[in-house]
Amino acid sequence: MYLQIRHQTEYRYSGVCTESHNEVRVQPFDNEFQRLLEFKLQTSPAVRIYHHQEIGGTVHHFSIRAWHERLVIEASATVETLAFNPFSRVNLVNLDYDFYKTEFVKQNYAEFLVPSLYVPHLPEAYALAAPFLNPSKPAAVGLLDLNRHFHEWLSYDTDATHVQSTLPEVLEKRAGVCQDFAHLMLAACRSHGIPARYVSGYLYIGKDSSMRGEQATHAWIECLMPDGKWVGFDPTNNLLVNNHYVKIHWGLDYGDVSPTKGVYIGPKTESLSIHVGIKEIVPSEVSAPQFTPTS
Amino acid sequence: MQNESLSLFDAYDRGGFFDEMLTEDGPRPHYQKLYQNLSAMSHHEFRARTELADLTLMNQGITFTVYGDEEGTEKPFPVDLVPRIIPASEWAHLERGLGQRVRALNLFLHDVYHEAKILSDGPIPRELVVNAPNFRRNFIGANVPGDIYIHICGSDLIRDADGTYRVLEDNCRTPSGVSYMLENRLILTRVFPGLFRENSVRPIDDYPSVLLNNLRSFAPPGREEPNVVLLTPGVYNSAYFEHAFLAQQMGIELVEGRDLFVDDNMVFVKTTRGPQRVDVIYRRIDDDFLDPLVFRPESALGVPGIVNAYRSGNVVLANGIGTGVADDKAIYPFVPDMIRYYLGEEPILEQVPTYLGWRESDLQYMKDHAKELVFKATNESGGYGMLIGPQASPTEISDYLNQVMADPRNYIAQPLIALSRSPCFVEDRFEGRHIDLRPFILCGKDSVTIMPGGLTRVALRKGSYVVNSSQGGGSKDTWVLGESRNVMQQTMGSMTQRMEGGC
Repeated sequence: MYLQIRHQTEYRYSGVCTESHNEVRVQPFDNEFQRLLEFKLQTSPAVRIYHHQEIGGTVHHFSIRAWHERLVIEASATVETLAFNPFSRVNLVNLDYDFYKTEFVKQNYAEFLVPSLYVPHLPEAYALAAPFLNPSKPAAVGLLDLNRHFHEWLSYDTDATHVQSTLPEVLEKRAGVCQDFAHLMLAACRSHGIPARYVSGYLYIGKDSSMRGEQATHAWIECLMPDGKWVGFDPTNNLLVNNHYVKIHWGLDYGDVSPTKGVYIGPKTESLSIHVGIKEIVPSEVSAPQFTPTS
Repeated sequence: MQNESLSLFDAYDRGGFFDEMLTEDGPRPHYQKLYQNLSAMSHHEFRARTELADLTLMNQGITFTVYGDEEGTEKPFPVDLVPRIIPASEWAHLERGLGQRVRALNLFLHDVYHEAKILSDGPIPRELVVNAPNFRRNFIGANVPGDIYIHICGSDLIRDADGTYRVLEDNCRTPSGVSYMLENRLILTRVFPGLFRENSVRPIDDYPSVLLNNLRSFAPPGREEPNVVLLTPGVYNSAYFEHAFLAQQMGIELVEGRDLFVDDNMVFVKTTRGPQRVDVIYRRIDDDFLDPLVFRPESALGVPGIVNAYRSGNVVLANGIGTGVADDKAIYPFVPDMIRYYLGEEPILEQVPTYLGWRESDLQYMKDHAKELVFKATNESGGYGMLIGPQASPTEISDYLNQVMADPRNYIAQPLIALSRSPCFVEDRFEGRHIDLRPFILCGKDSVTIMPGGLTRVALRKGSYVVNSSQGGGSKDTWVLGESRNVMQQTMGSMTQRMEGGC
């Protein structure tokens, strides 16, 4: 499937901003599940943009020293996602849970097992997951159950939480957005010894309005499976990650992947608006050079 | 009781410890001349020199800030005038050992921020490294000039009951104390010029120029006249005096975060002649406070954008980012393994046996033997977060153990080492006080320079083992003796004294 993504972030200030430094994590991966055919990033005021690779993905950064009352960051990407059956990637038959008890996992995935900035260790998260995560069934079955359970247990409510909400607040309200679903499931997996990481990306909904997450960037998690592969679970939508998902960045939690972050000198931010638009296109509409003739 | 004709050494009690100067049979050979000189001095005379030294200190404004002390921000840093002497052969051993160590530490940092071979090959548990509070995950894959992360290292050495030197810890982030090393020498050359005439003491006054040359050598390619600045957190930092002193000695700008800015991925300093590009920053600000864009967003001490400029190779930070994982006290027990792994050599210097709270069997031992052990938090410095079991009350021990049990990885314990002692002038005579030694190791692109000397710290309180200046310790001038006794010069700042070696 060919997807064209337009992701615009606009900050408006209540006066003049004299200096602004930003990091942006919005460039989709180019990997075995998705091919990045085209990517462009520009800002207004226009400024030279630099980038480097972090282990979790690409980071763009720039500094603006021109006075401005408005900052626009606009990314556009064309991605080809490759069709695959997500269930072919997980084992639903053999008992394999003991993998998580090995010293191999404790050492090689140590960073994905401990609390992180946004994902503290919470006994309540452990307890919620206990009926699902145990050696009596294959790990993937337990995780699919848990994915469904959190989907039902938390209600999706864009007004219940905000970016700075903590996981205990989410547990108390039993409501939140994709970021909260993901953090809760991370806490549950880690407390049970299953290495898990946070993923930011886009979800292409198409015409199916029952799914959540297209208005902005989406978030889900990846769990380490007993065969050593990372598999994506989306508790917000009760789905295994498939070719409707475009992965941008991964990290220990939201703190590692926030799509835009910055510091600036100026008056307070009056408004922040984010618009993400994704549409499916046909190959002939792709302007990228994948058809470059070889000589 | 006091009698003018008595020597200052009368009634000196070695107290069963290894004494740097005296043995049962009198002074050690390298202390012979000093001992004769001091023995001939009355306490009035010595006191007069101490007063001269205090006056010099006061006039020079040599101070140190003790946090949590209500009397005021700055305190004079007391100097004991009896120098500590290290003979040439002993120093040669330390120099080899420290050089080996810092080479291994730099290789370790390069490795853990790249392929992390030492973690997959086994000598060091991966978990301890990647979950260390000062491991900077996001810097995996980032390159630094010459693969040097630690440009300035201050390793702490102690001597045990047999006089064996042992490394107690390495300081790979922003080690301080070198200004006191330099000032102590200045004071001694003023107060005891004669002593330098009789002992061939190796000079240390080129420290600022060696450091500056090293820093310049790391500048980004194509920068002919590299601009080096010293970045300080400001006057409230405990080592502000040192920052100002070193900047002045090196002839470079002393700047705070607000004096720098980033534009187009490069760092500039604001000057009266307009912005000037900065190539190398000797930073005395911890990683956490360096850049609100990348680390703590609330920090106002740093410079937004500086970390990405560093990562792009447009500015060099000394020390590099993420060095704290190399001086984490839970990683310390593995430094000998690093030396074997990277250099294929046996460690030259001994360490102190260490129990890791992280290891279950060690933790049990720590609980059972708390009364005999010294406990330390793995990422505190300056003597904060410590418990000295043998000197603690049962309540203090149980309170401390509760903290340990809540977060075992962040604690280590070591047997109490009977630190060596050195004579110090107390009231009107000499008494033994425990000391350690912090030598300063400078890494260039292809060379390691270790200043012959260092800061000898003294636990001034009787019986105390805590030498940290932040815990009310003092210091001594440290003399490394040369092999030969040629004419040598001691130069300090504006004053030069020419001294003849030999007789």
